[in-house]
Amino acid sequence: MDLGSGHIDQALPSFETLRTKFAHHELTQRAGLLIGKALFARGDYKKAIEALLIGTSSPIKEIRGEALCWLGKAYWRVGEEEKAIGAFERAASQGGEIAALAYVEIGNIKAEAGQREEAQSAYREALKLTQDQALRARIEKLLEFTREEL
Amino acid sequence: MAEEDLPQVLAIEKASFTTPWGRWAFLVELKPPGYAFVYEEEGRILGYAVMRIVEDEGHLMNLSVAPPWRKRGIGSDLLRFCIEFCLHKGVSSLWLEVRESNEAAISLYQKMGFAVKGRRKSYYQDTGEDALLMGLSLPRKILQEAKVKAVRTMGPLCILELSLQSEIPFEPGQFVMIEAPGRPLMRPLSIFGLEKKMLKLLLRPVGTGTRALVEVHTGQTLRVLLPLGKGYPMPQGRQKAWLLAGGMGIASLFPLALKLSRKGIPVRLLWGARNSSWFPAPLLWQLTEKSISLELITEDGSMGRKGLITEVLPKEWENATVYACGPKEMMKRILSIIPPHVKVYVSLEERMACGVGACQACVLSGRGGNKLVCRDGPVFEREEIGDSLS
Repeated sequence: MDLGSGHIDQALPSFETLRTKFAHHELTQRAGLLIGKALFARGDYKKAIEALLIGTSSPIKEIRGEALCWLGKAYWRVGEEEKAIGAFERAASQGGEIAALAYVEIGNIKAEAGQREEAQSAYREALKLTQDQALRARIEKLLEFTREEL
Repeated sequence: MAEEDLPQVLAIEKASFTTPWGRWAFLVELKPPGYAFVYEEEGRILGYAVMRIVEDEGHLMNLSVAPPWRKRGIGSDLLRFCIEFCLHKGVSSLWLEVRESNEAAISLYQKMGFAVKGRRKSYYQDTGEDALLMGLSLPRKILQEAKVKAVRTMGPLCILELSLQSEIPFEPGQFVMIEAPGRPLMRPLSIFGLEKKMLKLLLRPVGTGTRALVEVHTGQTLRVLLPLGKGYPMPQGRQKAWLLAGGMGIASLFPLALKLSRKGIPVRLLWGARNSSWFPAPLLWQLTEKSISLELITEDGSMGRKGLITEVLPKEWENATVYACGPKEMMKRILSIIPPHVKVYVSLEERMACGVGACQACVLSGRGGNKLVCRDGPVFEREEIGDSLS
C-alpha cells in the first residue's frame, strides 16, 4: 500500500474493503496502523483514530504498540486527554522502545497539566525502558526541566 | 455597503465633492464587479470606499470620509481594507484617479505605495482639471482556503493546525496572514510549522483577533495568505547558532531550531518567559533533539534559570550566528550587549495590515532608508535596522 503524498485517498477504498471483508485479519490490522499514520499526518485525527483502533487489535506486539502510541497522539490532538493516557498506558505495557516513548508522552501530558511529580515518574519509567543513548539524553533533559520546585 | 446605508453615504458624498455621485451610481456598485464598503462606528457611517474588480485588475472608484472625521486614519483604514480585499481576490494591480490639486489624497495614496502612472487630461468636468492616474502593483501570493484540523491549548499558548489546499515550501522566519473570524483584517502570525499541507501556528490569545482564532472549530475554513516575508538565513561556514527567544518569539525560532538541528548545526536555544506555563512539554520534547541545547529562563524561577534572557547571555560569542525574536525591549537590550562583530538576525514583530508591502503600515526607519517589516523582513540583519528599535 503506497501511502506517500496524495496516495492516501487511493488507499482508503482498499482499506474499507479489507475492513469490511476481513475485519480481524492481521493484514487489516497492519493496514489500520499504516492508514492511521497517514491520516494523522494530514490532520484527519478522528479518522486516524478509527483506523488506529483497528491496528491496536494486532496480535503482533510491535504493530499493536505502535498503533497504540499513534492512537494516544491522535486522542491528544482532539483534546481527549484521558483516552490519550489510556492508549499510551496500553502502549507502555507492550514493553520495548515503544513503551519508553509512550511513557514520555504520558509524562508530557502530566507536565502540561501541572502534575510535575507524575510527569517525573513517567519520564523515569521511560528511562528504565530504553538503552538508546540519544533517547535517554532527551528524556533526561525533560526530567531536568520538570525537576525544579518539586 | 447596503442599500439602507445610502442616505448616510449620500450625505457624506454631498459634503465631500462638487459633483457628487447620485443614489443610482452607488446602487450600481453594490453588486459585482462593484464592491462597496463602509467605515462604521456605533451604527454611524463615517466613510466609504467603492471599487470595481474586473479579472485581475482593481479600480478604486470612490473613497470619502465625512468632513468632521477626517485626519483620524479612517481613509487609510478604508484604503488598506480595499488593498487587502484585492489581494484576496487575486488582483494584481489597483488603479485610481485623483484630482491633481488634491494633495492630501495624493499623499495618502503615495504613502500606501501608489505611484503616478499617467495623466487624464481635463478629466473633471466641473473644473476641467486633470486627473492623475495612480497605480499599485500587488504581489501575487498564494491565498488558500485552509481547513482547521485541531486547536490545542497549552497553558497560555495555543497551537492551531490547518490543512492547506496545496503544498507550499517555506523558510523559518516567514509568516502568514490569516483570517480571524468576525474581524475585518487578517492577522500576521509566524509559521510555527509547515510540512506537506499541514500548517501549524502558535498563538497567544490576548487580543480580539487571536481570541477569535482559538475559538474556531474543527472543519472550519479560514483564508490564509502565505508564505510571506523573508526568513532566517543559515549560518555561514562552521558557525554555531544561538537562538534567543523571548516569550512568543519561539513561534518563529522553533522551526529554525529544528531545521538547523536536522542540518547538524549545533544550536543553543535560550527561551525566556514569564513562568513555566509558557513551556508546554510537547514543545520541549521536540526541542530536546540531539544538536539542540535548550535552556529555559523564567522571570519567577518556576522553570529553568530565574531572571531575564538578557541577564543570562554568554560572554563568548566566537563563531556564533545569533537569531533573536521577542519583545522590543529584549531585542534592544540584546543588540546592545552582543559585540558588533557578531552576526545577528532579528525578527521584528510589527502591526501589519496587508502583509505584502502594499499598505505601508509597518514602516521601519533604518539605515539606508525606510524598510517594510512585512516585505523586507520580518527578519533583518542587525546593520539593516540601525537604531530604529530605540
